[in-house]
Amino acid sequence: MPRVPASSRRFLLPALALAAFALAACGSTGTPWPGVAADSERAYVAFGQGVYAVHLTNGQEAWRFPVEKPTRDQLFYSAPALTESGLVIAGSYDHKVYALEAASGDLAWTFEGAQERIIGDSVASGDSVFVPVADGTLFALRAEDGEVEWSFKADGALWSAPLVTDENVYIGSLTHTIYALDREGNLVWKHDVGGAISEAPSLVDGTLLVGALGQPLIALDPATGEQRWTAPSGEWIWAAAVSSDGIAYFGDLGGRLAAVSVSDGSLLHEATLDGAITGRPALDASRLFVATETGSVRSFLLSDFSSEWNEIVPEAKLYGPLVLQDSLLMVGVVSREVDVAAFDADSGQLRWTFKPASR
Amino acid sequence: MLDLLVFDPMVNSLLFIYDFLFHNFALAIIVFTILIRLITLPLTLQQQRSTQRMQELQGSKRWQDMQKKYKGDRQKMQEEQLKLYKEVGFNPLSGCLPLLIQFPILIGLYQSISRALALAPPQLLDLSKRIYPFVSSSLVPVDSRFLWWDLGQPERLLSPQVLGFGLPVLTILVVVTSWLQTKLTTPPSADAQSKQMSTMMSLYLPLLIGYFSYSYASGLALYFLVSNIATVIQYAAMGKVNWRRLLTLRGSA
Repeated sequence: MPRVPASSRRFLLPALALAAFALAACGSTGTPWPGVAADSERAYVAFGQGVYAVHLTNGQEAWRFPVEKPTRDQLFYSAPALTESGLVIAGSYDHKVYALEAASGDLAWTFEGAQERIIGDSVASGDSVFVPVADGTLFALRAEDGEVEWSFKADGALWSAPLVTDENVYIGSLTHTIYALDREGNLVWKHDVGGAISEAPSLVDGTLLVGALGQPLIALDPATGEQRWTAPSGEWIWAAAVSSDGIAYFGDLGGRLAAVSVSDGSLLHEATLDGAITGRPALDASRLFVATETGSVRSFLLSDFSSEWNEIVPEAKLYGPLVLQDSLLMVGVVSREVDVAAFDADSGQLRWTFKPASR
Repeated sequence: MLDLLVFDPMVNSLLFIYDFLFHNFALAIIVFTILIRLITLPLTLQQQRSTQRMQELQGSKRWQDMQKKYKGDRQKMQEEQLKLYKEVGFNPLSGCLPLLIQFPILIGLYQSISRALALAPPQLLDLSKRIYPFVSSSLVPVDSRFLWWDLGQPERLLSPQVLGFGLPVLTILVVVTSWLQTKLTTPPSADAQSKQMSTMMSLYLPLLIGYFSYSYASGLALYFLVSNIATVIQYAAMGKVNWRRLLTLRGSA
């Protein structure tokens, strides 16, 4: 540290204390957002120091985990996975995976084998749960008791959810690589896409679609990893694509929403929204739903890509995938008042909001 | 505004340097720190001149007489000191301004290190919006590993599971080099109050910086370490380091 004249040194300690405060105060460059999943009765919200079950009918809290005061590192930000046997699986920053009974929130089992934070969404498929860990390990756990079925070590951090099919598990790393594994955890192929991958790939009509930082939408052969085509994007494609009738829909951080042909990537429609698109859009039979960082939730008609409704969550930022369950459209919210907002998918009318009462 | 003028240029500079230095983020921090010290060299020199001027004043007969005459009247002594400063045209705060200017740089450096490391999705999302067109987005995320350190986390040598605690090697190095730097580069003072202050500084400043190093990302501790070493080298190059002061256990007065 630099030398100071003696008479000025009396100012030094208070000034350093001020600097310490400034270091701490300026330390955050973004707020984590809630992870949301839903079944036919409840939404499950993982956010901050808890996992919450919320009644779909009225947005009231059904249960929360933990009931007692959580530990300091027990932080949840990834969307929980829901198993067929009725468990809610939530990965945490404390390197643990918690399996909770969906009906009661009771702890069924805990997995403590991860060596790093769990940032990406876990995914349940059949009798297994797939958990990505920030140190690059993908665990396949037995859903029944959390025993490790197999693990795979990627070359870099895994922040994205895996995509699980009957034959394969696909997952992208922050170090630009998408991996295809078989259901036993053996590497089938890997492909460098040239940018960090933060979201799960999508499998659309036999084509694997991958978004990455600074890259176009990349279409790969899911069997071999060979590139089929690319579709330009304005900025980073953070969210996974969705598809309907041979058309893939995706948004980027520049707010551009695009519809491309799955067969060759040719552009069919595009629209520029009012903010970054950070969450996977949702689809029903006739509509595409998309949310923006600036607080808008919008509905587009698939028939002609025209805008149907547009609702704003005031003083809020919207992140993460849109979750559609029985005409109820839910999205994670970052604001003082709301953690999750639920809309009527048909009309866009706000049905309820959820913010857990403080402990 | 702070983002536009301070944080974003620093983040992109770090990434730019990182790209040239074999994608080694620790090397990037070291080079970046040295660059910042070169940029702030005029401020450092101004501080040195101010210190030298203060020493000359404190060594003058008038100052010494003032000390004796108003020994029991602190307020009067301060009034006389201020009068003397005014007469000779010396501003005692002139050495403080360069230091205060360096605080935003320090905060900017800490912010740019943590932003470039992007340790969680919100930070990565934020970083992706701040990368200049001429900086390759393929650099993100940077590799935060160096030796046994994760530059985005406080450094500990051993896993807490092994010994029950982790050894903060980098923090120890920062404390030792901070103490050495203060000891070697603080000039002797004839003024009793300054002596006392110097003694306190040589003890508390290393501990305070050590606390920052212990608590914050080790990338910041690396900055402190490099900065301390650079300061000693810089003073040595100007012939202003008194190596014999290392042998005295008392404060740097």
